[in-house]
Amino acid sequence: MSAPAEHPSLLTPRETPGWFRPGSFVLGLAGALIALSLLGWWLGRRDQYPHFTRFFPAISPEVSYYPTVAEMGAIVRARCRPDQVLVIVGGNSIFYGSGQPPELMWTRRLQELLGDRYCVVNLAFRGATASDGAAVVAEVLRREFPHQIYVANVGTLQAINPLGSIPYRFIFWEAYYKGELVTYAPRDNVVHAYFWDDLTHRSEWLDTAGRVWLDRALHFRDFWNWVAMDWIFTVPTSYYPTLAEGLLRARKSFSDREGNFDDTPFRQRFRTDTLKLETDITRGFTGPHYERTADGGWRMRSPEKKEFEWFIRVAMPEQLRRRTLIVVSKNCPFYVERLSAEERARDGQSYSDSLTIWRAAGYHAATYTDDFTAHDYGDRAHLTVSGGRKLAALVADNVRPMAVELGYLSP
Amino acid sequence: MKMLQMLLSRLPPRLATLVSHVLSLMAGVLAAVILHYVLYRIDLPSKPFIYVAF
Repeated sequence: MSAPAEHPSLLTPRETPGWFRPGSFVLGLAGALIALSLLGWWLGRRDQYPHFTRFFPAISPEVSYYPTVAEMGAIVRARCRPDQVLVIVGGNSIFYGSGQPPELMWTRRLQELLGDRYCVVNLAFRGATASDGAAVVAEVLRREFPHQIYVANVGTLQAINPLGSIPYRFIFWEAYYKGELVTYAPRDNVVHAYFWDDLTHRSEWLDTAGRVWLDRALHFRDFWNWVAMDWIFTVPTSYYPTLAEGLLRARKSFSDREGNFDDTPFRQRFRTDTLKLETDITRGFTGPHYERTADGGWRMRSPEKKEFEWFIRVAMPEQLRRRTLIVVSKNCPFYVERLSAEERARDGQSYSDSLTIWRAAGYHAATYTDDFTAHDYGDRAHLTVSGGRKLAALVADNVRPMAVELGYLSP
Repeated sequence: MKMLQMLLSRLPPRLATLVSHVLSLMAGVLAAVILHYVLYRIDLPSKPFIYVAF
């Protein structure tokens, strides 16, 4: 015989079930974390940039948007076929195409020149170096796109850090601690020395590696980047003047609105009030690195040269250096012509020395041809549309024989 | 919380148990979303990158 059912209102507080059930709470927590992780993993492999041109400021670390390695890989995968020769472009704002609107940017011209057998993707960032994000992504995609050429620019005598530059190092750490890079002992030694030989970094190891390991398990970077891209951006940035633009607006609603240097008259691009400063900067590229020889010539200082050679060898494993084209960018002739004859000789020698050092380390290397005039520059370093077309021709002329030499294409 | 407890006390015991499980599950989901987002924000570099061309 069953006991008569009690009316709920007759239950004493002691008999009322508590609303909180620890078992269900933990189940909800764990289940949702697993679901978010799987979603993040999946979203990271989707192309989130249907109209991608390059990493313009609204989708770059300049506004605290940090693209992940998976996202960048998805950009490549969505645009390129494995049967094409993948040409990944890295480097700084010169290769990014500052001052060249998207429809006239130099990498678009490069794609036209190379044709359908190649696929060009511009992953350069403003203020980056040749070993930053694009180099990392190319290395991560080495098996998926074995026919690949990595192209990036450097300044004369500018070495590259195996860990990348500080603002973009998050990309290197992500790929490194997720085990996506080639095992290369000299680079591992640099990582070890970075954390354990330098007291200021010793405490950062667990923080740096731990974040990546946590993200490897939970994929929060990819998930919340998707939210930022498609729905709402939640990281304040001072880049945009209004809160609505800077904070809330979904990143995908922004477009590449890079200006055109050609809209500014030549005299305003090369102003007299900055002439001395820009000429001094041009002079500074080589001045500290050279010493006079007995016969009145110039010689690169030995410690600088050894350091340069060491850095570029450690920056990439040998098999990746062979498929890398380094373009040594030149300063605008408008400023170079204002150097003394001796300084100009030193400047010119620095380019041939740079090319020799890069090539000796196993890279392909080139520099601007002599037909680049001051009108091909928007300022001391960046190129106008006409300069970009010359750059595209120069890179195409180097990439084609590389593709044959590497066995990607027949002559 | 008191209101929630009162509401539960007015429900039949089986339903009250079910509701309490669902509420706890949803609280767990909410906590997971918050934790996931907090990890994302903590992970962002603390120093903003300001691009200067020179």
